[in-house]
Amino acid sequence: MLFSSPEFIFIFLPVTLCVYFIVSKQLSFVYAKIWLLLASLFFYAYWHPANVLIIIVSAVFNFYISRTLLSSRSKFVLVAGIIANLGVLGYYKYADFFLVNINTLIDKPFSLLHVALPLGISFFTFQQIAFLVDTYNKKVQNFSFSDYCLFVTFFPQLVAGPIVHHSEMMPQFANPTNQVLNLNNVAKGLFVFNMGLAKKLIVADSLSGIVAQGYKNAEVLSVVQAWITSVFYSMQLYFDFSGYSDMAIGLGLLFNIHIPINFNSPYKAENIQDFWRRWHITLSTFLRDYVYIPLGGSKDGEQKTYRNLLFTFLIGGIWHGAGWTFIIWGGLHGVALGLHRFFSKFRFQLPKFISILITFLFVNVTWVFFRADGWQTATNLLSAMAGLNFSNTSFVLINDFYSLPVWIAAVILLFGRNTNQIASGFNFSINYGWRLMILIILNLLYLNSTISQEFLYFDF
Amino acid sequence: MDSPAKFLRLYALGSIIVALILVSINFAIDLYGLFWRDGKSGISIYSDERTSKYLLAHRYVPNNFNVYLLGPSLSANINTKEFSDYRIYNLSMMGANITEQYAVLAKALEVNNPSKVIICLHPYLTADHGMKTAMINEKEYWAALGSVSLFKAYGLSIVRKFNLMPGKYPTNQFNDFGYNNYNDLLRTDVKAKIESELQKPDAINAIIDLQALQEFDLMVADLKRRGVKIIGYFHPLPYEIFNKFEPDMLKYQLTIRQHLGDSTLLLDFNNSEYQFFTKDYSNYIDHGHLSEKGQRFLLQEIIAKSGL
Repeated sequence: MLFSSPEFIFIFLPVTLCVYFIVSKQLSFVYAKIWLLLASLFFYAYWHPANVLIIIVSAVFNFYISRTLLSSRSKFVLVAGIIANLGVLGYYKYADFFLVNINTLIDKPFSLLHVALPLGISFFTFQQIAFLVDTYNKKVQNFSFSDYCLFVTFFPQLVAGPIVHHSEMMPQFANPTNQVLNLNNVAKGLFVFNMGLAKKLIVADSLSGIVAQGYKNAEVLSVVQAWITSVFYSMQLYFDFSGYSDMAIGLGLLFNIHIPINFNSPYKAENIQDFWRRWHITLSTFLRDYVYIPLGGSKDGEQKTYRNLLFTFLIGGIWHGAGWTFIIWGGLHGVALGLHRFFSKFRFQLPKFISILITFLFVNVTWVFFRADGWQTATNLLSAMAGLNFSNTSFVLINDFYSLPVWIAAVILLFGRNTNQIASGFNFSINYGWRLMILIILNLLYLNSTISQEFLYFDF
Repeated sequence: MDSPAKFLRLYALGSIIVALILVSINFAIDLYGLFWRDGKSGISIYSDERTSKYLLAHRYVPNNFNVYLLGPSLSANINTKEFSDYRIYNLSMMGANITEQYAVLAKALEVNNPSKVIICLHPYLTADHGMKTAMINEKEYWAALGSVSLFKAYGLSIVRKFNLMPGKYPTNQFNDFGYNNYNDLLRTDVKAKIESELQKPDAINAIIDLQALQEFDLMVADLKRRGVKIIGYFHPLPYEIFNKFEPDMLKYQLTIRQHLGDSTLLLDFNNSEYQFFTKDYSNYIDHGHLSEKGQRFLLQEIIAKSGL
């Protein structure tokens, strides 16, 4: 069940929301949270019912491990817990990648497992590892089983993030003032959800067809077509994933839960460090707090700082997908961060526009590895972008220009005020009222249209 | 306004009311004759041939026509309106394969049965299977009450009506008999085009996809079960092209003959009887699609030979 599907918008969401607040008012907050937990599990099971067992077992296991850590603070238990979590993630996400690479080195290849990746496993695994580490470090006080399970399974952020931190979420689930329907939050939540839905349905999906065509035919693209393909993908990925994050934030607000922002106009970044403070913020924060800093961060001299940066981003790369292209993508960003750190010492400044352009071009080129289905496709596209594709074909990338207004709007939106900025000024004025109306009508129109709807970040 | 309750009432409910008004307008226009228009005065196509013919097949086509013409682009530009007494609707679609064609036909058959179906037989129809686009699907029915494709159709209806982009969207491209007059859009130097096609070893791919053949069988069986008379014709290819690929084409024809069965009337426009036609470039606009003159002769001949 996608956030952008009619069954979610017109059935699941209103039913879940209404029952939650009715139960909360008529029975108790605890029952309301149990309802929300069951609804979230149903939401997860809707894709693949069997996978709900994985998340239940994972949540129960981590709950008991963290309970043990709360009472005993055993390093052995912590390490065992982390290994178990990474083991499950490794089995589902990386086993075949590992076997494929082993098979290239040996005579008798192993059979691949072909295990289906449970949705959101990368997200809920990271969230729970963070929880275990913080419990061990005495950053977590007492917590209830229902609040913990809700923290792991809360449907707005379950399958594609943002990666929420227990310190942000669990106090909110425990806070009794959140059990009352808050129309301020409902209005703002609706507004933010509709902005996110529009980014996804109207903008990202209108770019997806051309991106798919471009990557499918990377070997025959002209220079211009290759650049259109790569830039359209950069825009598609941003509008798709940030749209999803906006929807998650809006949905959270309906339940009085404030989910952290995940994007802050990343393509306005003036350098690569700035980019990672604006793109997938919750992942960057996780990597910083639970990988980079534990490795030593920048405390142990320049050499080790560069090593730590590279290692952190290699982890970030492989977190996104089991493939060498993701590792290359992460490695490129790690190297770029190191270079940025090195050149920052000289304190020279480029004009802002040039800085933004260089950062965008770098990010855009590295997205090629992120999107390509393999090394060959990536190098084909990069060759074409560099004007090194000499195949002479009459391939047509764009068949019609019906979506041209949307593409122009997309570029404007990239560099205008972002959804967080617009939402932060939300009030009950005519100005916001009209925007909400236009968004709802446009979304209904696109919901009722035949367009491809695939959330890119569901694969991670 | 400082009350969230008032805000939500006004704008959330307001937007639903606006959406309902838009739906009502679209219902009143009923561009595809899905809801109330009987189509007696004719319903034309403005945009997306696949979506339009699929939607028109819900009510307009079965309620207003007795005979359907099926096939890919090779038959899509046959103007059946020139023989309007026979009430032949051209359900052919540019680039259509058997999956898409049967999906559109099946929708019309849900309402009632035509007396006859004419099938343009060319390897293209059975070369592959599966939907090539998302344009033919159940969702399009509700999309006719308000969607991007509907508003695109409105926009193009205005563009065509006022002849704003005659090069790309000519006023007379479609008519209410399903005719897709792409002749001026695709017309080329026939002789040169044929010569260039003859240089290609794979200009005609006569291999039949097995799944496509199964779907073809299903369609034929469905029509026969309903008592619909099938008239098949092997599309007239330019003589030189047929001649070059004759062994493959004969194999194709044999398979199709066997699958259509003896009860089907089959016309072969590539045999010697029609060489005067296939050798005459004026009957073509390129290496296979027929000119107005060619179309007219072909349809007249089908009508005469099949006793329509």
